[in-house]
Amino acid sequence: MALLISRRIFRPHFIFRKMTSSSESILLLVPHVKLKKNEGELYLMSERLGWMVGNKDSFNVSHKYSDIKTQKISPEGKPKVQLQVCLHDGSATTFQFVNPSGQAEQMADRDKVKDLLQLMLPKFKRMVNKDLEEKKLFLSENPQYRQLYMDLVKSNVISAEEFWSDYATQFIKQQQDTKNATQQDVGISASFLADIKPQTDGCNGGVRYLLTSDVMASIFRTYPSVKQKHLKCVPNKMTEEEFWKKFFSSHYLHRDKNINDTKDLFTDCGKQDEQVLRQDLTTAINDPLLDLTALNDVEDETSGTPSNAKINNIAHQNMIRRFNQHSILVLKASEQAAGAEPAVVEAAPPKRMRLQEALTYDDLDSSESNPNVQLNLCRIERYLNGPPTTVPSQAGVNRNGSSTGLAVDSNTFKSILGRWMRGGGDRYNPLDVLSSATAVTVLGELSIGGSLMRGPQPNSAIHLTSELQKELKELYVSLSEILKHFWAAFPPSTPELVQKTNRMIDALHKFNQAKLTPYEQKLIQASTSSEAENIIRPLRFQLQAAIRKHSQLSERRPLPRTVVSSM
Amino acid sequence: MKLNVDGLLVYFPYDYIYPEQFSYMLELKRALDAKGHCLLEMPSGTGKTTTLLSLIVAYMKAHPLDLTKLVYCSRTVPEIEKVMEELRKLMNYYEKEMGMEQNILGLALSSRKNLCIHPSVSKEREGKVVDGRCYSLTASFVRARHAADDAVPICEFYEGFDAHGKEFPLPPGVYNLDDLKEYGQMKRWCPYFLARHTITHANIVVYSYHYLLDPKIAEVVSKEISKTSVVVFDEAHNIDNVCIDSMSVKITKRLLDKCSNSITILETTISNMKENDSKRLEKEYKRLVEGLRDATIARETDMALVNPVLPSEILEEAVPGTIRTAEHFVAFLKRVVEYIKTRLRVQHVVQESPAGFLRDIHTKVCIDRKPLRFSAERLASLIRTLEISDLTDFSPLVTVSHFATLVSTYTKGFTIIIEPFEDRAPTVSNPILYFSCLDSSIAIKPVFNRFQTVVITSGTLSPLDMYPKILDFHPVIMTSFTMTLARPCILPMIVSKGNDQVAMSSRYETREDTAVIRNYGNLLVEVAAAVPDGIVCFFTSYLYLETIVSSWYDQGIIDQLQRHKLLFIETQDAAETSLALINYIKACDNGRGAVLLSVARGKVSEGIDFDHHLGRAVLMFGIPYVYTQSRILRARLEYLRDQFQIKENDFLTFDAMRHAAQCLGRCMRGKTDYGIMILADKRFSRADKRSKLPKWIQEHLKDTNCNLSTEECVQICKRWLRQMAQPFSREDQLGISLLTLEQLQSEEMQKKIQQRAQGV
Repeated sequence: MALLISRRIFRPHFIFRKMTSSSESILLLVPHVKLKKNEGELYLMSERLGWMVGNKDSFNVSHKYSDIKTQKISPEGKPKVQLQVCLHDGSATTFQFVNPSGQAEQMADRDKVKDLLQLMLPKFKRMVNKDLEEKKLFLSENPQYRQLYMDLVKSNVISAEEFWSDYATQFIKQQQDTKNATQQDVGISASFLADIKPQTDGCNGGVRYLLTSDVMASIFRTYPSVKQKHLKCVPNKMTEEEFWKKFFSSHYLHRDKNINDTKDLFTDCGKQDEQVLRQDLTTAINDPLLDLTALNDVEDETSGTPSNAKINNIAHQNMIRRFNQHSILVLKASEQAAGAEPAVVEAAPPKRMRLQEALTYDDLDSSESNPNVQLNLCRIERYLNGPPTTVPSQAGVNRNGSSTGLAVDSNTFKSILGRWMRGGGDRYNPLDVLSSATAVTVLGELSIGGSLMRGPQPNSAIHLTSELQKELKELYVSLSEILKHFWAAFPPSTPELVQKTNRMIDALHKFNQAKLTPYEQKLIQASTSSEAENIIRPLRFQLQAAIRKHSQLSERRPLPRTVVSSM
Repeated sequence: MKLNVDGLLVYFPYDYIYPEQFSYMLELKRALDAKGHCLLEMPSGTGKTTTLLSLIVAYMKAHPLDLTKLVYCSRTVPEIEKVMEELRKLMNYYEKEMGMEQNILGLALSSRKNLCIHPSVSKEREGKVVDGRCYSLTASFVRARHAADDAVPICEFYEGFDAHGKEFPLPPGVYNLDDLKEYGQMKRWCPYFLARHTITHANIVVYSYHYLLDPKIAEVVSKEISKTSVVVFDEAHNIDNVCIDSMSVKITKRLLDKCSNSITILETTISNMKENDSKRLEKEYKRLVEGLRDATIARETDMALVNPVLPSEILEEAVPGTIRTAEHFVAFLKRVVEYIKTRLRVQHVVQESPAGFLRDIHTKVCIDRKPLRFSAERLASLIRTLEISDLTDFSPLVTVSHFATLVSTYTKGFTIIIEPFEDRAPTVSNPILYFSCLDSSIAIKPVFNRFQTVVITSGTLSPLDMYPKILDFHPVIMTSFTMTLARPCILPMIVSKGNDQVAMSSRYETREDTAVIRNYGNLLVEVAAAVPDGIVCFFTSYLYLETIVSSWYDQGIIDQLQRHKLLFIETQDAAETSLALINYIKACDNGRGAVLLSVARGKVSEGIDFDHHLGRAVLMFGIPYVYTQSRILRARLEYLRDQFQIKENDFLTFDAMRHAAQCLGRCMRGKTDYGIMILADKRFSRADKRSKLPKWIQEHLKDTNCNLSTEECVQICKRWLRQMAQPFSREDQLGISLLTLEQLQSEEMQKKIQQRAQGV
């Protein structure tokens, strides 16, 4: 590894820090170390390295091992013996060893430091938990999730894993997106063969090719037949080196060479490629607008300029064909990488659609069609089949939520509608919409003193301090989050779902104990107990509904709840 | 929207209209009113087809007696299908607006290859084979044989059509090729014969040029189209070549050898038949004596062989006595073939007139003009009589008989050239006899004479005055429309020199110069680095493309190019080129970007559109002059000079520039599209070349962009691309290059349109 000797002025971290504690043991002390033209001493301690100017007692520079990414040393033969430490934040510090007793000593000093650092650095290598960092970033970017996390996880209502797998939906989506995005591989450069430039080494007329692993991978991906050949020949029949030597002398690199050279190792590869091409000719031409063979309605034998096909240079034609082939293969290779599966010849779009597409003028057509909003369904079957017939709504508000119930409902609607229509034959008579009795009640409700006209009830929340209000809001958010997941598990038709409801119920109980009750206490302290009850009642109500539902369920179906909860 | 075009109510199936579309309608209406021919040039990608269709359909609806039929000729099968889809769109719009079914029948016709639904025949890929196999299943004698013996195969679809198809006409609607096939499948009728039958009463017929221009086909297919029709030739910039090709014959040594084989087959068949069924031969003889040209001619399936001469030229005479009997005729054919063989044994190039040829054949082998003239007719009759069902083997003989008939019918406008070898390979003996038509007006004349209005239109017809001359007709309207643009969405440039100041040119003297080739390469590499997505390049000839590619490979330019984009090259194999094209488009679609090297006059330049990202830049390397050393071309040039007073150079430049313009126009489609057009040849900046570019390109070719070096060109490209990449909305266009109905009706705009029409 070559040391970067640059004239750039490093931004050294002059963290003037006292030697914090004497408990830090000094592992190595190297005198005669220059940093920015000042001579000083380099200390390697158990957790960090430091450098101080000769007669001071505090470090001018100190780096924790955990901050250091790598170290670099100057190559042999350079006049200066140096060592550079690169930090995670991108900066670097260069130390020069200036032992007066000569370069050999300087080197020895440097090597001592290097060896020790080599030993120490892996120990402190920060376990850069990428996942953790991502989560941290996500929480800091999304305050509502952060709050949720604080409320639910910190208070042990649910576990952190559960939070990340179930609750933070947005995070999950983000992760999937990035996963999908990273799946896209980098394609192959069309000019990878050109990158293998022959270089003469000057002395004995030999030619050297530089082959990197990238290029090798490109060759294998683009020319699967070469890869096969490689698998077959190396290392049984020849060495890696021999293989590539042959490759370089083959037609693949020299596209003006004739394929039908029988001595060439890659002759059959060429033939194989040719076959693939032939096959494509019959299968891949699926666009009626591009099929040149079917372009003309009447083939005329007299067409074409005096046939110059025969006397043309065959070598040129071969070369042109090989260029086309190369481009096609490169394209194929990158397609395969993108799709992961072998490129299936996609079904040709219906001809008529293709034609219509070809003749639409976007600017002549008015495009005032409303922009479609995309429906993002996470459960398609639910969308297609309507709500499951056994969905029990909260606290049995809708008691007949069954299919028969739905039928009844629709029948009632129909009859009501029918009544409306009946009044005036075909025309609908507004007078028949309401029965007079109903109308009178509604009017009564709407007049002063009626139930619908009562003024706003004295809002107890007004009396709350802003802090308590905020806390209340958070409670609502967290509770509804848990409840959402609870109800989402209904009907618990699979064992997993049953488990989930159990877990949720546990969480609800915990929530009740850990959050709700303390909050209530606080409220009581702040105001009267009846008000506190008023405020807390909706939350309690929601909680109770869920618990009741769950207990009903477990009664009906004796679930091994204890077993589950003990797990 | 509904438009008022000079008092005619036109339904236009879009909500907006380009101003030039409206002007186009005005001019077209005038031509229809005047019942005369017209020549209209409108930039590619401005919706020519839909404009034409909406106006003509409206006209047909308004004046059903004056205009009964629209015959729309296009060049390629995909183009035909596109026209049909445009028509469908228009008819749907009519139905929506008027709230009822429209009583208009439109259909596309193509060869059997594209319409056959017979389970095994339709699998064939080659048109000739399909035709031959179809004939062997549907010829009248085959069907007669089938009636006697069930084992003889016939085509059930044709039988179905024959039994019922004629009584029940196709219901109104729009029938594309696939619709016809579907309908045929449903009814178990043959779609091809159904379409041919329907042509006579359909309102709109869309097919390829050949069905009208090639007398061999026109006689069969388009005979019964009424005079009160309007004929449209779309993409007609090449129409003269189609005319010439349809009347020309090329005979090689191999073809003659095959002829000899066919003649032997004929001889044996005749002698067989003489033993078994001599009556039939006698019957044929009698018929020929009476001069009844085929009483059975009405049988459409038998029309596999036809006369190459134009309808008016066919003599209503009896076949001359010398070739009436089958043996005599075969002997006669043998003599003709042998004679041509001796003519091919030449050491130097021979060029002579048809009259000279006739004189020679008379003195050498005592063949008169008259029997020669009937040879195509007579051969057709003989093959029918002999009940030969496999026609594919006889095509060489048919070619020779066509030649005999043509050479004895036309004394003017044709020439015969016999070349013992090709110029480029003088050592390889490869004698070819060219019977070449020099006058494109011969084939198209009957069309002009027969139909009341012929519309010749294309994106690139400049210079307009050339076409009336070479096609020999008098248009009532001749107009070139420009493109109104809200932003300069085309950027034509002439690059005349490389960065080293060496002039770029494909001139014969310098084209092999490495400096020129390198400069071309550098231009392409730099453009490829600056322009996103697809780049299409056109070379003057395939040969030139090959030499350039190989030099580029040696110079390392190919490698540089591949660093920026994938490289695809047109080859002479159509299937391979298609594959390359598909991959080119794939590469453009997925964002890699690609370069396509292609040839002017090649299939790609004539049939493929590179719209939007598929062609952000077009480079024309050199001026695509036709191969000027060709003797056929020389003969044609001479003829044009003598007959039409067209200077050789004028015609050559005209021809080169129309192909260049055709290539450049490939990259534009619609006004939201944008593209760079680079003409890389010093000579383009000369006035005679520049002035022959279509008006819509010329308008945007600034004087300052006419003499650029590579570097300057790339700089301009970069700046322009930045400008084009800005969002472009409809509001930017409205009122300038795109009009709503109200805007169109405003007085100001009407005035402008009037001015534009007069200004031409």
